Amino acid sequence: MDTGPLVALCDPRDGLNPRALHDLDRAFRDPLILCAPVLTEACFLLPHAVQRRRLQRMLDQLSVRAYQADDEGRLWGEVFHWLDQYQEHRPDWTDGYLAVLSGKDRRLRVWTYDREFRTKWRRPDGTTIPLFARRA
Amino acid sequence: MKLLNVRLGPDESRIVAELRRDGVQISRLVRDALHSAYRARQATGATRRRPSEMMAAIYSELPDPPGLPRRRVDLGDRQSMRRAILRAMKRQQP
Repeated sequence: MDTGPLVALCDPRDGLNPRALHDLDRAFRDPLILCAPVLTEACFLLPHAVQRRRLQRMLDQLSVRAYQADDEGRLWGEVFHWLDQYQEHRPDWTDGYLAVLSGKDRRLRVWTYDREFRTKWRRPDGTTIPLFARRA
Repeated sequence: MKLLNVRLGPDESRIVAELRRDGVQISRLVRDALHSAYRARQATGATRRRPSEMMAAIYSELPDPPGLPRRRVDLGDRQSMRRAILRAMKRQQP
């Protein structure tokens, strides 16, 4: 899960909330996986206590799993390398982290509403990042 | 984290040994199986609730407090999210 869908699910007032709920019903056949950079960004965008309680409740009830790298330090190196390759586009750490993870497990699909995952970012090997959500 | 010990019969022990030889992480296998079983149980439980219905219940149990300001961010635009995160970080500075 990328930050956009995660935050949209936790804020019923957000314009993307209906779409996120629809996509969630489709996504639930597959395991939902969350990485630390996305969770960190989400907490910046959900500063109120009740929003964070919703976030925690959602993660519990939907059995969202924390991504655990076998070697987080090595993963950081791969992300830095990816960021360097795309530096002219000024990607964020989370962009690189998700792109690198996409390359590590071919079964993974990124659930994002960020168009750059379709138009710009690629896996480290240059292949397209499989996306879950339908196009904007 | 909690540690769970499981007794294995001879067949299961042989299977574990073969899987390990093939590079399979048994701990990950067990975690995957637990999550799959839990999700299947939720899907076939009495409530048969869709995830969106679970979220509706969460919204009802944890409503926004009165006067909560709206976020000024487009969640489909990374530049907008970056600006919002930077604003949030600046608010936290002493």
